[in-house]
Amino acid sequence: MLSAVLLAASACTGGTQNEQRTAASAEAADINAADRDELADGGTLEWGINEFPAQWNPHHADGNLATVHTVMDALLPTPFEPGPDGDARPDPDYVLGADLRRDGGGQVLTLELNPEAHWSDGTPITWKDYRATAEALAGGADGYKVRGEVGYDRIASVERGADRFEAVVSFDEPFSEYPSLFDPLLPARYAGDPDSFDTGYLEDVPLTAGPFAFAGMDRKRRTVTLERSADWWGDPAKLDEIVFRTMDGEALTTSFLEGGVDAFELPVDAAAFERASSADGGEVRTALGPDYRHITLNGESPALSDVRVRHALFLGIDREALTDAALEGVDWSAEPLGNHFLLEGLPGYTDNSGEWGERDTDRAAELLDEAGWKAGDGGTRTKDGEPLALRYLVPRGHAPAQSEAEMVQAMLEEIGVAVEIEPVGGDELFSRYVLPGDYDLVSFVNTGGDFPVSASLPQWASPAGGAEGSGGGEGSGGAGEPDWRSNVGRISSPEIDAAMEEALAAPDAEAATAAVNEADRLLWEAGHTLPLYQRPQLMAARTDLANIGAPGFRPLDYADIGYLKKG
Amino acid sequence: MSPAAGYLLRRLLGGVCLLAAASSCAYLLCAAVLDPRGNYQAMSPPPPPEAVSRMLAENNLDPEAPPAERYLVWASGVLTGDLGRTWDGRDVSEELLLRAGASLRLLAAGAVVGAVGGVAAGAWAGSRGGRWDTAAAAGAALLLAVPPVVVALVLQTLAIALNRSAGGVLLPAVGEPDAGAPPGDVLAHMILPTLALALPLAAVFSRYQRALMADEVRSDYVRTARAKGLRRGRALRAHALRSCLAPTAAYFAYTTAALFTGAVFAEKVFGRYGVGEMLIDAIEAGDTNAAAAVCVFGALCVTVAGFAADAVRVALDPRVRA
Repeated sequence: MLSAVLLAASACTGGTQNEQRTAASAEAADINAADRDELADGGTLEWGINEFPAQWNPHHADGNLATVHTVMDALLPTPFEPGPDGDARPDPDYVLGADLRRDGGGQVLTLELNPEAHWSDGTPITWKDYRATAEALAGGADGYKVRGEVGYDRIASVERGADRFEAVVSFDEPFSEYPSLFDPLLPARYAGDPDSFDTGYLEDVPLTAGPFAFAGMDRKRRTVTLERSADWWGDPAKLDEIVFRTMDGEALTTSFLEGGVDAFELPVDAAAFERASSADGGEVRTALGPDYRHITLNGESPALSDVRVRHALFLGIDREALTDAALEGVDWSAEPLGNHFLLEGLPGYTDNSGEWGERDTDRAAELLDEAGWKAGDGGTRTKDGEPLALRYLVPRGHAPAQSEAEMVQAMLEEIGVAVEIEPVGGDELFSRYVLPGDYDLVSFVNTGGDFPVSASLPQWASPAGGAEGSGGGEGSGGAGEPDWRSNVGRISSPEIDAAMEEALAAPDAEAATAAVNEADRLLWEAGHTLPLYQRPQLMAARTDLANIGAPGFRPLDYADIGYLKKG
Repeated sequence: MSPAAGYLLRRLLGGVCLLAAASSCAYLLCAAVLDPRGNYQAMSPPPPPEAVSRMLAENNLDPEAPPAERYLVWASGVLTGDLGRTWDGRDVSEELLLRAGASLRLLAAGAVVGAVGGVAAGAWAGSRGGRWDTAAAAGAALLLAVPPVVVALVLQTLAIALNRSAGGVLLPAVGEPDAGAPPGDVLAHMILPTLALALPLAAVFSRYQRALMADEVRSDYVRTARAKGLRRGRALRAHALRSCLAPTAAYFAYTTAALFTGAVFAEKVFGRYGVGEMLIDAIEAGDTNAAAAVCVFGALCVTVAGFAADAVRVALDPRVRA
């Protein structure tokens, strides 16, 4: 009720202001950027987080949480960083040079490590840490509880080069997104065996190598404290301390209003945005984020196994209206997204939606006619006496998802498709409904980023154990039932697989981008998942805090976060 | 053994049986409906389903395994004090102990303030009558009609407004005090959550106590006491109040469960890390072990409160002792 009122209020005033905001900051970050000499030395940053993870190893299956990355990015090394043009380059704090060579069917990556770099116990960072991390993440077969990240399975070996500060990473097959690897690097001591990997960073952070050092964890008050590292070899951190404080979303906003937490990430939600924006001495920083919202269609449900019906839905849904409704409450506007892999702000982004991106109810009606769904008297189309009725799952109690689904329901009603909205518990949405394929439509968020194929390959890939079937409705039961894993849309083709493979194996960025866009075009043709809009990243922060906020696709440099000098 | 001790022992045995039954039911219910696999599916990219099942099975959390089987593993652990592990590998017993202190402090403060305040208000309104009685009745009705979570949110909103107009934090509206904060600060952080718990409880108690008190005021023995020359106030305090505290004490035991439910929301709203907050998080995460542990803790609190109420009744009411 309250959020509806707020939403309406900002809808009236937001118009022209919105356009300026997006135009000014579409490609950039919104972090109140300041030079290091404009910042005061010292100060404590109270950073609000909304979960208190148990597992702080970001490569562990339990540790793949946004909060773990937020905290550990300040503590663990990463060999690559994005350069000014968006291309990855070695981060000189850890790696002085990187050389990539094609070698027969594979490739060899040679990393020249910074000999100054060392772990918090004094041991230098060497090729052994790279080998241990690569071997741990290569697969879960030998007891490591890993996330299953793309790329490590292509590494044949990591060997010592000229000295211990040269790591030679050999790949069986080319891997163009190699800078996504070792993000972050784990110390050999905790990557070396499954047990240390599992328990080393469980409710503890034993070893670090960053501008900040781990100063303690208060499990009773749910805080994690970092302090400026005394033996950091790069530019020293401006802040004395960062205290990560855990609270529920609502409580974080209240604490921000009250002068408690100084910065925290906001959900894309009108009510929270309005409250946080009203804080004295605080503001909300916004930039295009590395994720997007979409509607996934179940390619194996009886009605949607026909690609013409899926395309009719694409045409029946007004993506622009859904985008505006979702974002006007947070004072933001965006165009519907035209790509499943690449996001706006990344090099090579192309709108590949083609004929399926714009609403066209006449064409949708034609497609449904062709597919045999005839318009009747009742408004809902029928085929062989069966109405064209779809189940749209939403997480129960999540108001934005509910209103989004209601809008889609109204839009599809116009083309004679009945949509029944089915709220289900958030904890069982995926496990009980989406993964087993017991749904027709569902919306959720996909994370993209600098490494588009690595990030989402399993979602578009053919089922394990064979690349047959392309959204056929005939796969009903039997021993040979395909294992779709994360491809919850249950649509695939050998062509899509090949294009993604080509992108991963491409010799240069240009070829990789071309292949990624080809894969995306094929996804649009196959009617696999309708992207809606790229979500803004919202961060509430004190106005005098610099170099923190919504960084877009660039990681934050924790050493540069600080308070502006007074006056 | 004295009759009173025998009575208490019987009640204690009953309580322990009830505790075991309630805990088992809670576990089976959690095991039947909660599913922790969603935690992994929300990750990008999600780990393969077989790996998820394997990892959950290690912590006795695999929803594919039959609840009865998981119950046996869990129950044998509980008997040795081991409540299992959360989906992400935390030791549940340790986590519960860590949070129990925060919750017990809040529950105790809320129960005491609520019960004493309610009894006092009820006794006062009942002996006073008239316009004050009507006002107290209206206030109590309002508090009873509003869900406890709304009471908490209203208190918080008022505190934020107060702090804003004062230009500082007079009444902390959210969060725990820092480690080593001065006692004043710790106390200030307790005020709002305690009130949020105490107000609905006080409303219930004041109505109950008022009804009892109004009866007692008209009773013969109070009239006799007054006829013997006792002042009205003294007659009520010495005779009427005592005889209606016994039923109130029994009633108190039954309100503990409601108090516990109130604490769940109060902890979430005021950003405090007690077992109530743990329960909400556990349910969101579909974590059977953690949710069941909180239910066990809740059942234990209710049992202990019930036993305490019995003990108070034995002390107050000589008929029970006989």
